[in-house]
Order: sequence, then C-alpha cells, then structure tokens
Amino acid sequence: MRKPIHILLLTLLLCIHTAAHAQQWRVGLLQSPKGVGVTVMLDARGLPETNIFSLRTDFYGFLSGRTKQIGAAVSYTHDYLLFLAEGEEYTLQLHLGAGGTLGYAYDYEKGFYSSFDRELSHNPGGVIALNCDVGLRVDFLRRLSLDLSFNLEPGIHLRTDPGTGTLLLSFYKNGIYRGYYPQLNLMYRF
Amino acid sequence: MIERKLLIFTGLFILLSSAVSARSFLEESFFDRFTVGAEWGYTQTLLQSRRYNFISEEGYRIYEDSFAFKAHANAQVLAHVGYRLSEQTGLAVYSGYMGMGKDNRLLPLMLRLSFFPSTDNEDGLFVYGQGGVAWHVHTTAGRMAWLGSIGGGYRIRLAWNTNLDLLLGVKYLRDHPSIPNPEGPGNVPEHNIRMNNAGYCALDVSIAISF
Repeated sequence: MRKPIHILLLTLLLCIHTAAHAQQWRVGLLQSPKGVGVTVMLDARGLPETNIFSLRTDFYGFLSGRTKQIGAAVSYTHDYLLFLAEGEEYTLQLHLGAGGTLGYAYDYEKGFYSSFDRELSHNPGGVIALNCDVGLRVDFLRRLSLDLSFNLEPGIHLRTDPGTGTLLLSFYKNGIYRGYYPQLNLMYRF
Repeated sequence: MIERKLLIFTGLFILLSSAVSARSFLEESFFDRFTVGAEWGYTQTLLQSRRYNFISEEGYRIYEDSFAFKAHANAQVLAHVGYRLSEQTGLAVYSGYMGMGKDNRLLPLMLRLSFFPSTDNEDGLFVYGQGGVAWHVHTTAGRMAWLGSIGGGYRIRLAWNTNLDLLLGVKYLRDHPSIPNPEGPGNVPEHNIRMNNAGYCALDVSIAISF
C-alpha cells in the first residue's frame, strides 16, 4: 500500500531535481490582499518564457472581518517576456501570460466591512477560471527577485445554497473585481 | 558611574563614526536623500485593557474595567516617505491601514526614527521607534487613537537604491473605540458613553521595501 506513495514522492523529487538543473527557477512568498502563498517560477530553456505556479489562500471577507473562513486557490500561467532592461545591479522584465485557476473560495457579496448585515451569507464554493496576468519582475544580483503582478480570473463559481442545499452555478465575480489587487512575489533564484 | 562613562563613550563613538562616513553622504543632493517605500505584515494582538462607562438602553449605568490576554490576528499595510538625516539615521512619515483587536480598523499617521549601526545602504541590523495618531475607518463613534511602537530589523541591500527590510516590533495603541451594545445589535450611542478607554498591545512581523 505504501509503494505507490513512495513512487509518487520519488517521481516528484526527480521532477524538482531535473527542473532545478535544467533551467533557472525561483521560489518565493506570494503576498497580496487576495491572499498569501507560495510561488514557483520556472524559466523555459532557451526561450524568453516562464511557467508560473502558485498556491495561495483566499482572503475574501477575511481581512474585513466578514467571515472567519479562508479559501484556497492554485494557479498556473505560461508567461512571455515582452520587455527586458538590464542595469548594473538588476534585470527588469515585463511578462504577460495566461493559464488557469482552481480554487475553493467565497465570491463577491455587496458590502465591505463586518457588521450585522454585512457578513457573508453565501457559501464558499469551487472556482474554475482562466488566468490572465501581467507582471514586472526585477532580478537583483544577489539571487533575490521581486515580481509585481496583476491578474484577471474570469470563470465560474459553483456553490450550494445554505438554505436548500441546491447547487448554484454563477459567474466568478471576484475574478474580475479584484483585478486591481497587486500580487507581490518575493523570491529566491536558483 | 561606570555606566555613565560607558554611555558617554558609546555616544562619542556613534558621533565619530557618523562624522567619518558623512563625507560621501554630504556629496548626495537634497533629493537623493528622500526615500519611499511600502511595508506590510502580520499583527498579533496580545493584551487588551478596557475601561468603559456608559448608560444602557434601559437607563442604568454600566462600568467595565478589565485587563486580559486577548489574542487576535490582525494585519497592516503602510506606505512611507522618508528623509535620510545621515547614513545612520532616517526619519519617515508612515500611513496606511491597520487592524487592532476585533472589528477595530484604523488609518494611522506616524513618524518613525530609524537607526542603522553600520549604514542604511548595506546589509545589517537596525532599530526603530515610532509614534503617531490613528483614526477609525468605518465607525463614527470613537475619537482619535494614539499609538507607538519600538522594534528592530535586518536590512538586505538589493541594489544601490533598493532595500528589503525584515522587521519585528512591539506596538501599543491607546484607543477610544465604539462599544458594542450589550443588550442588542449595533453599538452604544455616542451620547450615552461617559468613558471608552482601551489599550492594545501587539507584536508586528513585517516586510518592507524601500527605494
């Protein structure tokens, strides 16, 4: 019974090891009003392209005290390098790409702060969305990188009605409404 | 007596080291000494004291006096504009958005003095002290609050004009918050409040980037 887990772990380690030797990669902390998490960026070998994986919490309603429950999301985008500028101590890169997001989170509800009539009344639900991002990455000489990005996540939100238990499907509004929220990745470059 | 001599010697040493490094600093133009940046982090509220005195809906007076360990998770995000007084010291005005305790969100305006034992443009430890005022964001009840904090951190130099700071600090907020109505929804009306003093003590763990 344990064998498949061992094989899976070994495969995962082998993948990470191979990726680490094959191309430059960055691992870091993602910080945003949307949530916090981990980001991995893998540069495509010989091409001005980057694969970006991120796993983060979803803070919708949490920071404003409207709920005590947080969501989670995982996303992947394939980004193309649009602009490159090199200085003495840094390399600046503008990247643009697309991919997808899967998650479990609350969707937008009217109101902003907690009060007796502003608490989130809908259930959290599954999120399936496209992910379009644009970002500015700065690689510093000492193997640290900063990446500031914005993304739009048009998609669907699947939740149950808290009263009847009926399955409800709607457009994922937060994917658009939170498009102006910045995401800052603080990364170490391998 | 020995402590006083030690203090004087330390002061003279700091002055002397500042004077030695002042030459390159003086070559910088006035505008080069300005800094801007952002800081964000987690705030762990730990202690809370309350002294409330108000008239209830039914007309009787309620007095509440407490001091207790009350943990609450909060966060803060700040922006700053600063001026380098020397290579060791910087003065900056901070403002932003912060939470302190349950349902208590404020807009702070603070003045921070930072001291870098080496210089502010290289890797190293530093200490800071700050103080200021804060306004409640979404409530009309409650007057202006006062806050102060002390702490330290480690500066990582990323480029000639870019630094990354990792900070740890202790913060105290003296507040006059709105009082939740003990007999129903909403808060106690402001005209029924005789006293609403509250104190919060919290630990800040932050990351900052300055240019």
